[in-house]
Amino acid sequence: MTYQFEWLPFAVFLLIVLATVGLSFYLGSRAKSASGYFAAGGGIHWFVNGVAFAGDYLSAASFLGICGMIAFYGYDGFLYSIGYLAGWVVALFVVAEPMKRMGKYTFADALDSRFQSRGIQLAAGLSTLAVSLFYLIPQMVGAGALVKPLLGLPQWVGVAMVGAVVILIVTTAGMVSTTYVQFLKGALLVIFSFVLTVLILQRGLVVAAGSSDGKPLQIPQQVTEIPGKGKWINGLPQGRGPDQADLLPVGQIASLPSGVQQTGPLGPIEYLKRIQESQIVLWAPTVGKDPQGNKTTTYAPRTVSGSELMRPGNLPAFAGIRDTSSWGRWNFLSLMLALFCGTASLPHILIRYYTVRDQAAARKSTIVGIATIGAFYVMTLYMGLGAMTSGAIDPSDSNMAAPLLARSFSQWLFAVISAIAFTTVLGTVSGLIIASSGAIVHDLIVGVGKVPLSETQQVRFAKFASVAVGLVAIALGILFSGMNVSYLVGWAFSVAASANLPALILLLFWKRTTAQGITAAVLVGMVSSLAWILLSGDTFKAIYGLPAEKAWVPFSQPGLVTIPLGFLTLIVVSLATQPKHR
Amino acid sequence: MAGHHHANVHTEDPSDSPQQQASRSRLGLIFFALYLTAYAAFVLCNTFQPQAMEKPGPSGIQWSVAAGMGLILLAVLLSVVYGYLCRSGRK
Repeated sequence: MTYQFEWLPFAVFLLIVLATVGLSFYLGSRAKSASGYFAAGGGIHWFVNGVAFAGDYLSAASFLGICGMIAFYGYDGFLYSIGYLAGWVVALFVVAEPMKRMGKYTFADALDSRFQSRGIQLAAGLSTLAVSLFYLIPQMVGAGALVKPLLGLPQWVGVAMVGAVVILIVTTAGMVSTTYVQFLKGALLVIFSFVLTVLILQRGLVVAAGSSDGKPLQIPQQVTEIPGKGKWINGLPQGRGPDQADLLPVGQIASLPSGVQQTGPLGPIEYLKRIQESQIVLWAPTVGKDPQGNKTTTYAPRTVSGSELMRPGNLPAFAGIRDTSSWGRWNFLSLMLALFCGTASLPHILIRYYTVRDQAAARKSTIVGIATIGAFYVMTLYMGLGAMTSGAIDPSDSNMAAPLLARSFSQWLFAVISAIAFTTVLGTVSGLIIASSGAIVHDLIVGVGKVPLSETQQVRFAKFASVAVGLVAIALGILFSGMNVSYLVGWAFSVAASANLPALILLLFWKRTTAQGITAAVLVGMVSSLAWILLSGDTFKAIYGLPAEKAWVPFSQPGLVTIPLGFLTLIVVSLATQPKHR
Repeated sequence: MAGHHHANVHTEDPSDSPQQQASRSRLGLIFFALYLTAYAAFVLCNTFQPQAMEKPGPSGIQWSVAAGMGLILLAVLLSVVYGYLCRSGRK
């Protein structure tokens, strides 16, 4: 779909983004020391930190990605919500307090607290960088998806804008301002998700929302990309003028139970029950290429019962659940394991334990985080289903479902939701860049390279590192622009869980763990999971343009194999390197 | 600069003894095991019995949705209870 620039949403958007960034400048002007830059001086209140956890964690993947997945494929998107939240249980019950006890600025500090080993610092620093970069990709892709409908600008402009603003935030301020950006954004995101959810329930369900004749759109739509001549829709050039055509918005109910045309306001349980008994029109793309090199994507409507939509296996990546003969089930199990193990292994989340005063504050802020994040994930189901039935979504981009749902209510809400989503990306990207710059300067340059840097020099180097990481993130965001952002985040979780969790858990609970064991486990977990992803069917198809069947590994999500591999490596290497005198 | 990354730079609560840390840690592991069991059961049902998850469950909501919502609420509930028990465990 093409999008026009409109002043009102743009003005509201600009106001919210400027207010957030301005506040961060103001609050961050106090952070000058290394402890202030990397860990906000350990002086953040637990409640603020808890909401900032939500702001840090609820990234573009959660808001744009999950809502889009539910809107396009139903229940499978909600499975991501459940997995993302479950990971917090590991963070609270197992990791939170020891993390606070053992570390100072970075995840590597915690792993290395018992040994003072350069090997551990190298491995943990590298894995922090790898995970953070992987996690940055979907955030940047999400930013591009937001800016497209809001400003009518191409994808890459959005990616570059986020990159520029974040580099500005991080280099001028560090962790204090990042914390407040995340706090504000976390609070705004949950509040406005609640507003959206209430509006969705108030509107209830309407047959063929957005259509002029009371019938859902049932004709296939075709997009042809002709090299040198741009995009053509159903045989006409894409645009809004005469002799031009555009994709029509989709997301409609074909029929409601007992033949009614609309339900009126519904309660939360009643809403889910009515959806189950409705018939809903979904749009699935098929892609073809002709000998001239023109690529045609056909979006064809298919009417599906609500009850089928609410069971697992609609998402193409999860289709194996319903196909007993294939590896698909293992792919799904592998993803759910990675989501469970990944949260407590994400370096940009773990560093938030250093911004509070003590272990009790670490624990309390995690509980606030879980409550906030849990409330949000419950609402993702309503927002996703609301988008699915709003008659307003773009069949060619699942990442835009949530903002377009907001636009189906009003331009104001659209502007506010887009601005919040944009600050969502800003908050998460800032945290990731701080974590990466901490890994580069604190772990790799000072820890491994033994370069003697004063506190002020560390901060200056970290700012240079932030600019570099930001530029890499912009490039990657443009490269990966076509993929659903939540799916991409699934990979980041797999790498984090495989590289970091075995080391973290066994360090806490197994006395015979050695420095060599930790180093080996982190490196093996990281390399094996990255290699698995690069050799998987999904990457073959989406990145290399090769058939998925040619992939070297049987299923795409690595966690089921590489997380146990990390544990095994640590145990074997530790046993082989036991100190002689105990 | 060597060794500046060592731990023990925090202002620890003096009333927080190693015994209390250990008992909190044990409590955490029990809660973790509880939740892990529920999560594993949920994921395995979704993987191997997707058709059964489609059937209506409590108050007419399909099992898939009801169990998923339940799991989110369970996480919030367990964490609040854990926080309460940790607090009341202090002297």
